[in-house]
Amino acid sequence: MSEPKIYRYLYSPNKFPLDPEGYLVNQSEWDESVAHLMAEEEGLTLTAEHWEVIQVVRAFYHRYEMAPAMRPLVKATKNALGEEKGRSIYLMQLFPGSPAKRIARLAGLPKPTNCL
Amino acid sequence: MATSDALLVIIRHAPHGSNWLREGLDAALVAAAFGQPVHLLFMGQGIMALLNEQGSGAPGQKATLPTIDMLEMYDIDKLWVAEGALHAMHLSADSLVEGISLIADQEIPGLLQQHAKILNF
Amino acid sequence: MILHILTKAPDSSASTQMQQAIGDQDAVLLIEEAVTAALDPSWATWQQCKARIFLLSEDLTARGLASIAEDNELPTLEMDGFVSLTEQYEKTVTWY
Repeated sequence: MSEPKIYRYLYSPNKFPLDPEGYLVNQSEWDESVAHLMAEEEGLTLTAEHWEVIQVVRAFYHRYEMAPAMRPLVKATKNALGEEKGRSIYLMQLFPGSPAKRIARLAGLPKPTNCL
Repeated sequence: MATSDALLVIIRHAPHGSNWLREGLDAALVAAAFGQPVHLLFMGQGIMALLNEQGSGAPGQKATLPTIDMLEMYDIDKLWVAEGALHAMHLSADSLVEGISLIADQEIPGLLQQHAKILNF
Repeated sequence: MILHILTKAPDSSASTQMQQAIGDQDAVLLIEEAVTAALDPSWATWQQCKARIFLLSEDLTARGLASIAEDNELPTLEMDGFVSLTEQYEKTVTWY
């Protein structure tokens, strides 16, 4: 696999490199403060509700070595957080636009591969 | 047999040797991500993808087992395994991941007829 | 009804797997390396499919097998015949 291209740096004293789509180049640099910086850049304030979903996605990646597309994201959220939250409308409200991609980015993971 | 509107993805290549397996699984995942019901049929060397003791291989090479485990998260839960090929490889179903279904060789033509769309990898 | 297209030699695993998948109403088209089946009239698939198995003539010619196919009285198809065959069948499955 080729090294991901560095496109720009996340605005912070540590200059975390990002790829052309805004995903963290070095996954090991991720921590909660990086997620907050990325969210801030998107105009999103991370609440406890956001965090529990980010943790679901990180656990998914840890187990399956891939970030989930929307459908499995909904299923994983339902399994972890219950019926109420395991719905696409809920995830869309928390992460408007493309929840699967946005959450993967904020979670410091690569873009979901089978998510066009 | 009723015609299924599911997509049948046939997997015939083993992990590590080529990209065919990965491409087949990717095609299945993309289709499933778009809400298309997907069934899988493993024939010949493709059965190697289901061995429950496989490791991750060379550094930088993606392991197959996590992706196989992930299929159920994409609602891909029909994994057919050609019984004749399994025996020809001196394997038993116990060596494979859970949740697979064995299919007798003489039922394979019928399985293909049942599916409106087939992708062969 | 399926049109099976085989691109690999008759002794390949692709060929074996195709044989396992052929149904009663299906047809088979042999292209690329698969046209070497012309050398072996005892190949099981000739019996299995009888009237519905064809060789692509341009791949036979390219490999110097056209006259052998003719001597063995094997059915061949030109490219336009190939196209109309794919139109006759609901789906096509390629074995490579």
